[in-house]
Amino acid sequence: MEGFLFYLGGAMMLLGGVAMVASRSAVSAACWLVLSFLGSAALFAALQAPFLAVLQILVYAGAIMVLFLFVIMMLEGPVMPAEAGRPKFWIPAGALVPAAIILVATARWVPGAGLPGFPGDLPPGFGQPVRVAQLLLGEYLLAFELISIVLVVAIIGALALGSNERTLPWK
Amino acid sequence: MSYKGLPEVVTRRRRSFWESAYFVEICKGLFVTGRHLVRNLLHTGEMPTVQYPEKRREYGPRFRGRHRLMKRADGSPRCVACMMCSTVCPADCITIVAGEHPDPAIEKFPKTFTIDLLRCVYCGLCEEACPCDAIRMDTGIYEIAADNRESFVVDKEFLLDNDKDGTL
Amino acid sequence: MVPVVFEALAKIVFMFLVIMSFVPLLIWAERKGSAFIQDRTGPNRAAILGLRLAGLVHPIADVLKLVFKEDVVPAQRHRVLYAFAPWLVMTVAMSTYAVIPFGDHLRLGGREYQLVVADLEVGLLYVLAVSSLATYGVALGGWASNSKYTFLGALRSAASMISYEITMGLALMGLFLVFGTFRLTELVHQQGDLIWGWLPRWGIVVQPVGFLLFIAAVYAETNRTPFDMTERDSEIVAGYHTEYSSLKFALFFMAEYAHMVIGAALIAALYFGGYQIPWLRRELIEDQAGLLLTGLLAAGALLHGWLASLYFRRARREKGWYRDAREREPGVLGAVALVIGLALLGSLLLRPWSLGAAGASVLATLLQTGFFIAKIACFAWLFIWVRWTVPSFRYDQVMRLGWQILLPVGLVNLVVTALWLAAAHRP
Repeated sequence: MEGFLFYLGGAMMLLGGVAMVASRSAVSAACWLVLSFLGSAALFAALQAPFLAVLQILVYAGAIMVLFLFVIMMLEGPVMPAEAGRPKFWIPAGALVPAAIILVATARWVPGAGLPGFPGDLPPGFGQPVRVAQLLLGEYLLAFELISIVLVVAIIGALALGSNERTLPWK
Repeated sequence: MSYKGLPEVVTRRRRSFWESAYFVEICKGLFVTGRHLVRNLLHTGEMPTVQYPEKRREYGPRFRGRHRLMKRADGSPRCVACMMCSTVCPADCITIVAGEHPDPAIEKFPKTFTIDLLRCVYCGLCEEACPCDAIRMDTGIYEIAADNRESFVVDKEFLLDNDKDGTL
Repeated sequence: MVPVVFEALAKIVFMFLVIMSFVPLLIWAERKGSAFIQDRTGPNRAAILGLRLAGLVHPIADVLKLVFKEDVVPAQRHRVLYAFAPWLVMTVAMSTYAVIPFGDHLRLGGREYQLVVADLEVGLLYVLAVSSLATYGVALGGWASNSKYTFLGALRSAASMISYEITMGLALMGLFLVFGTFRLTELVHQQGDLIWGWLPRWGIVVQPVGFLLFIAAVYAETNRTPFDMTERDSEIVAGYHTEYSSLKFALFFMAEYAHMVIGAALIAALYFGGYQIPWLRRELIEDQAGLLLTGLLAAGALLHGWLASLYFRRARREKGWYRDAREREPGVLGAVALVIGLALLGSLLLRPWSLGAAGASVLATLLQTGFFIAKIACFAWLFIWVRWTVPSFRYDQVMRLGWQILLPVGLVNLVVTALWLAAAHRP
């Protein structure tokens, strides 16, 4: 089961990533990126980390990419990339995915290069929300808070850069 | 354009806290619509909707329906082709071709008498104008339907046949 | 392994059937309910052999019409995304149900069955994650149609989704703080408790503000009035599905109602005790199963007898109204009600008061699942009722409500809940 999820997730990530870089319309690229995120969520699920898997979907696919899509659609408008022609990226992408799967699947029999082992016996509660919360708000509290400060600084910076003098909220 | 006497700026009534909190007002609104719902559920028969093909609304005796042409005692049309109705018709939907009547006391009779029911506005001026009460709109027929435009141009024979329903 | 697969399949099929039978019923309730609210009679013409069932035949006619209609598509559409969007919406609508428990443990033949498709540790977050994906179908469908109206609908849907997702998350976090688990089965199970011995420990009791926030967010996410910006008829025709027709439109339409059922199921499961019957714990039902079943059967027989008498009276009253097959309808319905009533009465002869342990467990499960479905129906009706009562908000009002009112209220609610819990659990 984990192996199946691994190959599925890996294929989705590869296909999504390659197609995202290769696609010409920004909206298509965003959709491929979402597929890639879903693949990584599947990988997290295979690694016994359901919390991270759900957060991956919730935060990246569900919130950030929707925001991106909103902005892209607003800037591009409802104009179709008819001039972009037929997509050509799917040939390399389609070739790459089975190649990668075969590579990973056969790597098992190459001496010295096995699959990264799937976790067998995990400590109880591994990957569950409680454990993640204990790590974030206990062991790594300082780093966690520092990152949130960085984010706040970034937001204020974006506000300051993005708006002119008159529209700043503190003016 | 300015409206004298009206204030230039409409002052909005300040909403109270509970009004701007929406939830209470929404509940009040739900109560109003719910009252209608329950009343209609309990008294289904009292709804104003008329179940049309089975039941019909009663119209007054002066309701102007589709036209008909009156007959004399001998069955000939009472119309004398005086052209009053086609002249007064605001929609110009009545076409009469007059012919000489064999009876010298009558003078004229309509050879053809057609009404374009698609043009008719059912104003009733034709029956008001008619000097010999030959055209009437008292049939009460209001369902006039056909699948082609030609059928709506009805002729003398059709209008004289007074036992018809709405079918053209 | 095989029984596990069968068990999972059975549960999936059950949930699927419940939702898919809710959808036409809700469409019927929407049309008939709106009609009665506005003093109209609503649809009552479509009939099979004269049986009209108060307009219930109309959804069948609608489906037939939509299936056989020509699929008109815009020429300049994005082919893949245009075809993909309705399926995406429907898939997302269907997958939320996986984590919603529809009954307590069912003990049968020494085995215990958990009546939920997937009992995820992160169930609550799964709900949020999947519902956040719902916007893709709408946004991409609107964009891929290559029309101004659908595009505006898509933009609005993305905007409202981003805004109200946060409120929804904050409301759910308050619930999470109180019950201390993301697991929906556990969450619903805890709501069976009583506070001070008489007040059910439902989500709405412990999180009243959170409930108001959640219900507003759910209405916004399902795009129902008063938050129906994405398909506001007077402004953008039909919003994101303006350019869709035939079966693709049917999918969007069904997905909208499926989303309503999810919303109602979530409200019922999170804030109204899910399958829990207040003051009637499962142990009590199982103890008194025989007595309860007898009472239920007798009540059912009485109810059907009463219904039959109503129908027969109507049959006499409506004699000569239609002069065709429709005139038989009340009589036929009355006969059916009478037969069911007699069958229920006859089943009393099978001595239902001496019910076994397995039967008691099944009865308790049936009762609880039935109660849950009744709760879902109530909240689904609330969606319809609100739609035909409240005028919709303007776009800027929706944004202001989401960001400037609901979000701060949600934050305050979260902090207050945390402080209250910290004070209550101080060692």
